[in-house]
Amino acid sequence: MMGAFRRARAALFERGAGLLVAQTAFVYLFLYLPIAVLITLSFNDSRYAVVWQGFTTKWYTALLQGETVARVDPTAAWNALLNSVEIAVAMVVISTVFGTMLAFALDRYDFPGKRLFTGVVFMPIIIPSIVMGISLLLFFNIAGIQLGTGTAIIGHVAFGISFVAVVVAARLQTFDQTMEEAAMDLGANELETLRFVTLPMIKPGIFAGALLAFAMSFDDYVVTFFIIGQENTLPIFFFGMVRQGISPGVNVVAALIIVVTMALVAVAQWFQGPTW
Amino acid sequence: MTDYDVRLEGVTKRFDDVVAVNDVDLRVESGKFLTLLGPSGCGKTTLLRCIDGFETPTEGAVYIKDEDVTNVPPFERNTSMVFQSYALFPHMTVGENVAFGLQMQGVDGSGETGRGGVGQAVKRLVRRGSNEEIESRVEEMLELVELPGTKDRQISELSGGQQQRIALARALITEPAVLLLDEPLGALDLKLRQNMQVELKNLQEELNTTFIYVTHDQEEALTMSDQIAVMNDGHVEQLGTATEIYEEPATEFVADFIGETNLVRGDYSDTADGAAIDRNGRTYVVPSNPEADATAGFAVRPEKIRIGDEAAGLDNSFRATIIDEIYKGNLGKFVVELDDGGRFTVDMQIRDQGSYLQTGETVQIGWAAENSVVLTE
Repeated sequence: MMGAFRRARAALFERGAGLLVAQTAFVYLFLYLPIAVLITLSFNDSRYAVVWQGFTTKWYTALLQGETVARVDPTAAWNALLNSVEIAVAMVVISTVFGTMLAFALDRYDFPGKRLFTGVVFMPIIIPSIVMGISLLLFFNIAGIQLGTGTAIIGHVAFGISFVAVVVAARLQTFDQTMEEAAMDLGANELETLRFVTLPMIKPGIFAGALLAFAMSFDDYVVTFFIIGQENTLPIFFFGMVRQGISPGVNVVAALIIVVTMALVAVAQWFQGPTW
Repeated sequence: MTDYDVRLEGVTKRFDDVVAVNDVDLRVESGKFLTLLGPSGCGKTTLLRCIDGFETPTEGAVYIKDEDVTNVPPFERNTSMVFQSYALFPHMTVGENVAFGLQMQGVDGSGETGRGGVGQAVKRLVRRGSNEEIESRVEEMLELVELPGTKDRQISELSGGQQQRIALARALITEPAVLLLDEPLGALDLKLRQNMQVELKNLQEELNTTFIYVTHDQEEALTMSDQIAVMNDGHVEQLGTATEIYEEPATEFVADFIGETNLVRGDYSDTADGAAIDRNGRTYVVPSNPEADATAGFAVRPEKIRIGDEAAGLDNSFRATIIDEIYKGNLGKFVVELDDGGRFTVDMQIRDQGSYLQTGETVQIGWAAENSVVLTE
């Protein structure tokens, strides 16, 4: 009796496990198939069609040698990439410093109007990008600030701080402040405690926040479009290209960016070290 | 002249409306093991944190080695704390944890000692220096806590008992004037806790360092302490040796909190050959107490009450009925009731086979006056 039940249950679990594997496979397929298609098509020996015509690396060679491939001008793409990287790096540095400080303020102190302040801090995460873009554009116009990569950095910092603060604050919530007391008890002053105990212990949170901020900045289209003026970033450049049809040049640039991004994430994870 | 490592004068700590510590005066002699004993919320941990510098007293002063440290931050005080949660740094190895105190004191790679000027402060922020002196001291400390050769281990690889020892080594390496321990054995199982109690006491005697130990466990306090300060409601009820606290509790709270006792409230009066306390028309003979005005009653320990024939002829001797009994192997615990309804718990050594008593039996109980203690409010 019991044996039969156990066998039935085991069989059910076995079939269930099969379903689970299938489901997982579908999720990953859904997420990564488009990317795989894009990378594959970047090796497609056809100028226009999305139909496979044979393997070639000629688009890569051409672009890397500075030739224009199907309206994709490598110099323009390169400029756009430089702008994107410049904005993202500056934004990450500023947002990480201020976002982390903000997280500490919210975690450690009570002050009048804290709830309201917290709400305002996290607002940029939920307000639609288009509203953010327009309001920033208005602000820069009224303030008389020339649009360019500088204003793009300011605009990105405006939401980057919020993302870093959310992630770091979550990390601080689980941080045991007795650790800081132990350090001070052993003769470390406030700065030394921060340097040797607090920061090393919340480092994973800071890294995660910085990485998220980088990603948010790097692929932001809407906010950037409003406040960057005549300059280009990669998303804006791509959007301009794709409007006139998919070109092998776009595929190549996108494929290269995927490879670089994945490498960056791997490096960041390695630097982040273990978690406690 | 006696040296005091820690002196508290009128220390009061208020958190908003709550008075956590209320006007505490306390002196801790050098090289002694003092325990702050009391129930949760009695202010013992707050008092410990005032000594270490994590809390600043609202009123009063804290002296360490005769130096007023009331407003000195914890990192400039010559005290070390062993935390209940150990608070070992998880991102450092065992050796780095133990070395931390020396590194922060400025025993750095340059060989200079002491906390120097700005330049040194900046240098210390860049990296935690290490040198042969620190390395050898770390090894010494690890040997002291019987964990030699563990310096390259990760904290997560250690058991609870081992972490406890590392926390101790880390706190002691700076040779503090006072070691403060905040219920450090709370997380260990009973057997390990009992072993650690003995080891802690031995360690304290070996180092001759002043220990201030916080616990709510009376057995722990009685086992280890030279002096016990029983705390209640923010103030010290009684300061004394383990024997004094147990045998001569000063207040009703102490008598009740330490061990088991029979409390009898009543009216005190001096008599020709001593003193007496009246309750329910019955007179109990007690030792006389100079602070008679403030007396609340008296206490007598269950093991001090005789039962059976040997109870006859004692200062206090009454007929009583056994209403409950608990067999504990080495002794019998009986709850007896007098004819006026007064109840006493009595411990009886079971020395002879068949001498055990049953519920419902009527027996004689009694105790000598000097075996009871008159309590103040």
